[in-house]
Amino acid sequence: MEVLTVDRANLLSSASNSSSQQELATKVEQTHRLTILLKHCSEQLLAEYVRHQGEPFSSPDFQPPPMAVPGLPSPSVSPEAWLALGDGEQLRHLAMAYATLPRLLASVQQQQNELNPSASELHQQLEAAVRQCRGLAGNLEGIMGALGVSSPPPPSPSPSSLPTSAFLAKLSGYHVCRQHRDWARRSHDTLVLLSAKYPL
Amino acid sequence: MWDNPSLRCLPAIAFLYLLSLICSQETGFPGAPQNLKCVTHDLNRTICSWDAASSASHGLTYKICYVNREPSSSECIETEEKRVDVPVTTGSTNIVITTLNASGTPLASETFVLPMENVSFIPFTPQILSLSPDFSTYTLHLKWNDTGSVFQYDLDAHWQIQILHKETMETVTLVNYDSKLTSKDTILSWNWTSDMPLECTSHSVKIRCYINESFFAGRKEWSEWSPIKTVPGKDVDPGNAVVFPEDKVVPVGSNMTFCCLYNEEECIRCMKYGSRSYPVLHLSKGRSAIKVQNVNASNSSGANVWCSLLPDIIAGTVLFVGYAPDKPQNLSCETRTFIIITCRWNPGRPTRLSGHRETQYILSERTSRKNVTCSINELNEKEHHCDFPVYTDQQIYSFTLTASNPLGQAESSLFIDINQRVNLETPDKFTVSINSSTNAHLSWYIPGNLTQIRLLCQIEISNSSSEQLQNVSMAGAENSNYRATADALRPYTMYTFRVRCSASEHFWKWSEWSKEQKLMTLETSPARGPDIWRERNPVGETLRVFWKPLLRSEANGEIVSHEVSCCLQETMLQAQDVPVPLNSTEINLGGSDCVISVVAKNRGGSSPPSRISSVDLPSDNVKTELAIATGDGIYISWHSDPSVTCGYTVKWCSSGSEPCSVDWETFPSNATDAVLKSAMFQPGVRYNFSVYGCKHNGYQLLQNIVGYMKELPPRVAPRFTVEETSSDSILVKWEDIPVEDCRGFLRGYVLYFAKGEKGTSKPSFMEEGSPELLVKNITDLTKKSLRILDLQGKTSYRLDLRAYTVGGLGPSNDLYVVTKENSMGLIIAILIPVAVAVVLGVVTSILCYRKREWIKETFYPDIPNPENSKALQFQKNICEGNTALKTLEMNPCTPNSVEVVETQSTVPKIEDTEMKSPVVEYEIPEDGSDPETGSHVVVSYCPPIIEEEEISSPPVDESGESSQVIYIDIQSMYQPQVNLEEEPDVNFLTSAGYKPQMQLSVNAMKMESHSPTEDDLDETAGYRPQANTNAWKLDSPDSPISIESNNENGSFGSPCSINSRQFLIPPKDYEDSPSHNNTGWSFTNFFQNKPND
Repeated sequence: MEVLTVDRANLLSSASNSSSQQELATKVEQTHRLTILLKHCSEQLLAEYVRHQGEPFSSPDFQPPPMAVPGLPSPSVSPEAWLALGDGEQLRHLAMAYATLPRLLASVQQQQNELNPSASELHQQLEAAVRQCRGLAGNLEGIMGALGVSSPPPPSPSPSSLPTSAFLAKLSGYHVCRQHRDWARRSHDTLVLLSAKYPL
Repeated sequence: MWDNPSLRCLPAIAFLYLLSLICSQETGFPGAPQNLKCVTHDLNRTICSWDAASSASHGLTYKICYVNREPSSSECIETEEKRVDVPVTTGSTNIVITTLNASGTPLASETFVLPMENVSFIPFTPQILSLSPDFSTYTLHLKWNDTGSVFQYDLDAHWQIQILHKETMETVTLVNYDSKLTSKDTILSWNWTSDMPLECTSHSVKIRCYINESFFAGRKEWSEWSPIKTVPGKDVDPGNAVVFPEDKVVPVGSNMTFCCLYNEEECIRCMKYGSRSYPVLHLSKGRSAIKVQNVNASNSSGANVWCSLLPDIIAGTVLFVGYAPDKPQNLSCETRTFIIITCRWNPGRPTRLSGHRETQYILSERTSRKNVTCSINELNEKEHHCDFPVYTDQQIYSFTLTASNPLGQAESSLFIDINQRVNLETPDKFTVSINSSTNAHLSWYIPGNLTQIRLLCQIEISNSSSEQLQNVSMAGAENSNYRATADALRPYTMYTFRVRCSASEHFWKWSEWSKEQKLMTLETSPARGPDIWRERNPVGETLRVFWKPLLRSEANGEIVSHEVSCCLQETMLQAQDVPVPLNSTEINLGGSDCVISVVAKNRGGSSPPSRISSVDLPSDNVKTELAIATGDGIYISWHSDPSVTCGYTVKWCSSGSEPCSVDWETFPSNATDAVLKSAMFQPGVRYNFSVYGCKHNGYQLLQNIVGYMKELPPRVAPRFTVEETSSDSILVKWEDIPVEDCRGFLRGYVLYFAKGEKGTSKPSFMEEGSPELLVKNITDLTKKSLRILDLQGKTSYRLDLRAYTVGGLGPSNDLYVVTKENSMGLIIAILIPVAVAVVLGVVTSILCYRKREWIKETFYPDIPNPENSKALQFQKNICEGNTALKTLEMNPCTPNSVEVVETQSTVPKIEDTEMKSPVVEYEIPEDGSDPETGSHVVVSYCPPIIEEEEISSPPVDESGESSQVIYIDIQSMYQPQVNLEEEPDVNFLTSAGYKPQMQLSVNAMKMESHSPTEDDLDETAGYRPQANTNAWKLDSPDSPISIESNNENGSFGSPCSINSRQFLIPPKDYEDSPSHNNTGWSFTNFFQNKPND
């Protein structure tokens, strides 16, 4: 993986004048609010998702082993390690994740249309999640641009191999939703720090 | 050759024959053939094999010669093998086997006789051509060749197919399969469905055959098992555990087996169906299964089956459990526009399956051979529908609706004529225009290509009071407007219109109603003139003309005013226009009568005039009669008058009282009665009706009638008073009730009376139901009083008077009256205890009189000697010596104590207040009725007493006898108090002196009813004492003082001459001594007389 280190001085120098500083702070704060919403919604989505999948998904102690979702970087780094990454690196990771998540969530919705056609609340939440992720991706791009962080390369359009069986569809959907939640938490953590650095 | 049964028997017979001959003709050579065994696989050739000593087998050859007995033939062959192929024969076969060495020298020869029975028939071992699995249906497809061409004729073949699974080759099942061999090779196929997914473990199949040739005499045996064919289970990569079957759809109630396939290094922890764990069956290493019986319908996303593996792997599958689709119910198809046909149906029981597993509906039409796939969301729709295009020139459609899902399919069919299934669209753009008082033009739009049908449209025309439907038939058109006209509408009426349509020739359904349109028709002139009446003002020359408002249906608009005119022979005298809402006007006739006409006017025009003459014809002898209340109206009748030509008019005041609100009704000339009804009539109100006759020259009052719509009970009670009361009767008087309070025609009064005290609770008489209740019904209304007789004296009565009408009894007015005392009863009540007391007193007196000596000595001795005191020394027979004493003896009377005393004019009167007591009056007769008592009591002077009765009729000769002192009972002359009071100032002086003796008749019994005239008669009749009797009374010391003492006093008398009846002893003596005054029980009196004895 390409590693880019951006120190704080660089960031500050890139945001040279105060008006752009203010603009950045506003952008950070907007994004911060969006992550708060996303964090809340992603938790709701995961709960709503498992509710419709039956046992064992709906069991409170269901903890399947982590499964790699093709195309999605795993947020499996420990929180300490995550914080140890610089702002620019965190942002790059987030940007990569949110470049992929909308497509994955859309395919989950597609699967759930087949499996749970009458679960309208779930469908609405999935649709909302797709929108929110796209929105966050845009915000992150803006912040990165303001901070002078280079954007990650666009995700290679991986052949979206839909799961062959209904059980795998449920399971992969579960992992997408769970990772969506985890990334939402991560983005929130990052944006909390950023908003502290760039107060309004 | 085996076709003929007789021929087939031949080999058998031959075998039987040879059976006895079978033996080996051994030669003793060690390499000689032994143990010949023969088998046939095809019933054509027999393969025989034998044993031979192995020591010398190398280089040996065998010459086999076989001889068939029948048909007789012989053949020899040489071979190096120890087996030979000989043809199957019908009989037995002699086989000679000769062992030859390398040089061809016979070493040994053996002869076998081979009967058919010793030949075994073992079919060729079958070969499985293919074994192919269908994993989705758990089915194994097996194919093999029956090798029927081996046999020359048809045979029954039986097959055994053995299914084995797992590596351990456990038999799952053994199936028999029968087929027919038809002398040619046939590929047989057979399917078997496993209850376990084929992926779960390996499945193997082997088969064998048995041919049942009934005419074969030898042993028939199963063939060898075919070589096993195996379908291996699915292998899995490490870490990619899977559960089978994958995404299976099964009907509710199925029994399922699920297997979990994993790597051999992994270890299964548990396996669950949904939330429930099932016991795990270990198929082999890395393969485990569970069995679930009778699965329930799953939810939309299916039931998860999953196995949890160590280390930390999860694998699973989803089972969808539901139902096959029901047959579509109530399939019906119709067209609205002739562009598409819409079919609707009820899907029946939900399949519980969704996504691509949900029911697919295909609507197919046979004539056009077109199919339509219906997109239906099974979860969201209760009634399903599907559209099919209408094809031009096709009228008949034969639909089949097929419902299918992974579990099955069902279909329904429908055959329709499109022209008979037209349900038109709701008429749109509905407009109504009105430009007259009776017509409306309607227009609406119906979409669709309706050229091939006629339309029947229904127009609903309604107003507040009525509703009518008007049908219109018209030719259909393509996406067109349709028009119609509604006529015969009422003027000036708000109408509501709406329209709906259908196909006219083959009615199927009405369309929905269009939106409503409301419009009002225009005004037109009123249909008729108003009802009119007039009344002449009693004073003056004015006439008031009344008219009634026209009904809304007659007014044809809004009446603006009424034009009233007065015409005299075509000449209009005057006219006035009276605006609404006035309904009367006054016309000054100016001394001349005229014809009044009234015209009602609205914006549409004027009504025809109503005319009435102002002339009132004089009438005499107008009678007033009563009407009959009918409850909701008033029935009146009148006498027919032949001179009435233009009807009768009945007029009344609808308000019932002043101010009069005139109302009237007219009737034809032949009517003589009517029931008048009006909302103004109120029950209990009196109405006065006047009946006028319309004659050619005017109106004449014929009759007056009073009546009620409904008679009610009087509102008030009659006021009544008690005029007179006696001991047995009451006279009651009452007053009339005012007419307005009668509320009906008064029919009479009812008087209730019964005993009752005032102040007690007084429920209504009727409610009380007292048995003593008496009722008097007074129907004579002229009577205003009533005497109630036969009452009890001194009793409180409650009287209750009510008036009544046809409507019932009015309220009551009650009174309490106490009747006067019944004197006779009182007298009797007093007399009896007084008589008893007197008798007791007399007895006591007699006793005391007889013992007076003793009493005297005891209590009042002349010389009191305590020692002699009898009181202290009571002797036993103290009274016995006086037993002979009579009650009264005049002899002992002491002359010197008698003085003739002149009556003094100034006798002091003792105003004894007690004498005035009315009670005293009633006691007088008692004395007179008991003369004996009087004579006994008198002890002082004890003159003989002349009893009252005797006095009333004294013997004439007595007066002529020598003077004799007699005692007159003072009380016998006692006058009632009334007299005493009436003559308080009697002059005793003038009345003193001699007076002729008269009979003193004082009838005490007549006291009650005595009258002054009767008293006068008594005074003037018969003897009179020679003194003023009043004076006697007054002077008499015996005047009763009290009720108690009266009896005793009555026995005291003053001695007097019989002739003169003058008192010999002046009463003054008694008066001097008050103690003497009332000494009936005084001991002093006793003892004063004592010395005279």
